[in-house]
Amino acid sequence: MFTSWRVVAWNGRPAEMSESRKVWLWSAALALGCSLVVVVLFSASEYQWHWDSIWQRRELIARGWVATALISLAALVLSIVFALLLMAGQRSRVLPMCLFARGVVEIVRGTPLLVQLLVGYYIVANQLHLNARAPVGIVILALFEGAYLAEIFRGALESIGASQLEAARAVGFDRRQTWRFVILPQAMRRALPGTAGQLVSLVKDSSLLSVIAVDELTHVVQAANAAAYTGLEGFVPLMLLYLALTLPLSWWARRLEARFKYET
Amino acid sequence: MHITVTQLTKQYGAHLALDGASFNTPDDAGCVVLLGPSGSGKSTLLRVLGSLLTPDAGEVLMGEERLLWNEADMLRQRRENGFVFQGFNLFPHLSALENVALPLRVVRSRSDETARRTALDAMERFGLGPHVEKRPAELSGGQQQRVALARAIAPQPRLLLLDEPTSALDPMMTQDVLDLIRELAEGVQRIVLSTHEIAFARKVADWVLFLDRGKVIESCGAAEFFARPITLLAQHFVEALTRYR
Ligand SMILES: Nc1ncnc2c1ncn2[C@@H]1O[C@H](COP(=O)(O)OP(=O)(O)OP(=O)(O)O)[C@@H](O)[C@H]1O
Ligand SMILES: [Mg+2]
Repeated sequence: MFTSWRVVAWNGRPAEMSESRKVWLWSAALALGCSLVVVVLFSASEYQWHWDSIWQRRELIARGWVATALISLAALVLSIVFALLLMAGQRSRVLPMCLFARGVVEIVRGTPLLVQLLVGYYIVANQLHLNARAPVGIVILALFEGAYLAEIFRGALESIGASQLEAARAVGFDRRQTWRFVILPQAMRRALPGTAGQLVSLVKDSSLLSVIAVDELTHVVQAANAAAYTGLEGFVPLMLLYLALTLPLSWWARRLEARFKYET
Repeated sequence: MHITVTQLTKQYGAHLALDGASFNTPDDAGCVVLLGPSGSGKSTLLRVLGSLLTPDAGEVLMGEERLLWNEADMLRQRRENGFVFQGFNLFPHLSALENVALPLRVVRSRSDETARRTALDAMERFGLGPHVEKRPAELSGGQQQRVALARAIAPQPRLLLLDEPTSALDPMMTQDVLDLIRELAEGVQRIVLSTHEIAFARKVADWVLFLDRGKVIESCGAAEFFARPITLLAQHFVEALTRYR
């Protein structure tokens, strides 16, 4: 019903307004409306805005933004390594390996990242005399996201059914060819949307590294706020700067999802 | 090429899928048809004949060659065969053409160009010309099964094994696919197939194996089998399946 209506709208007399233009117009209207509400709310309060004091610190903040991007990138690469190890561990036939990997995944997924950072940095890393905050933070962040990624990868791998494996055998693929041409391409397609989504989480979660005083975006903005004796100004650009990183990623994740839904 | 099977056994848990199956087919039996009730072991036998499955005991001779059951030999033996199963086991992430051409390149080491030509020829022959670039999800069941057939015969297998190739198709598509198989059977291709399409079996079979509970209870020429099945079960089976055709 719905689709046929759309077909008529598209193929019949030229529709009054295309679907995508409607979306754009509505988005703009909603954004404008929300901004108005915010402006009204804040102008009603007594707060004096001092944007110039944040603007003076723009270079510092920009460096924090780059740091967040780099930290995210490093943690992403490392988290994929962790995820592959944890997944391989869980699928291992060696019982202690399997239990260890399962245990790590459960513990990491069962506790807040904030707590992991505090324990990991102030207790574990300190005991080991590791004082480089950023690398330690990256490792903890990567382990956290890696545990979730491991489950995404495992699900993707296990979704390749027995009939596909039999088909691979039937056309004469050996074990290596089966992995290369049948299992991995399909598993990667299925894991990609979830992985892209996890990447968005990773960027956001990197803000928690501020609790162990890593100079990433959130920490830098907090410092700028404090130094300028302003309370709140920094938080607005903070939000926008995170969105500048995450919106393209989630747009990409959604496109992947749509594409692979169509393919299978 | 004659096939000689002796005392083939395959057990799943406590269940005997093959229970000492033995038979002989003559050299000139180009198309061997497996018949028998559901669960009688047809698929299991086909998988063993095609070296996809290791039997627990027994022996298979393909012509003069004795099949071996270690992994390396099974791979080699398997590569001499073509398979089509009842479900459409195409690779969903590859185009129809790639489904056919990829095994030619990586298993038979054909060049890109040769593989492509061979695949296109096979698909053309099966009326798939307009569909070669589509993914399996964009093809009808009948078209998918024809791609599977093209994939199976493109490397010119010694033996083509078909396990109820039409059981997942509607009647129109079934006719299409059966016509193709018949054409293959009337050519030089050696075929072993299982089917519930008794009228079709009667047309294509040179030799019939009738299975019941993991045993081959009849093994004889097709004309003879359909004229007078020996066992009561086979009589009932043939009658029941012909009643509404
Ligand atoms: N992988 C398996 N695990 C357990 N039991 C199995 C397996 N494969 C087959 N069987 C059992 O072995 C017996 C023979 O199965 P098979 O598939 O060979 O029968 P079939 O003659 O092909 O039946 P159908 O006509 O329904 O396809 C059945 O009872 C089945 O339940
Ligand atoms: Mg079967």
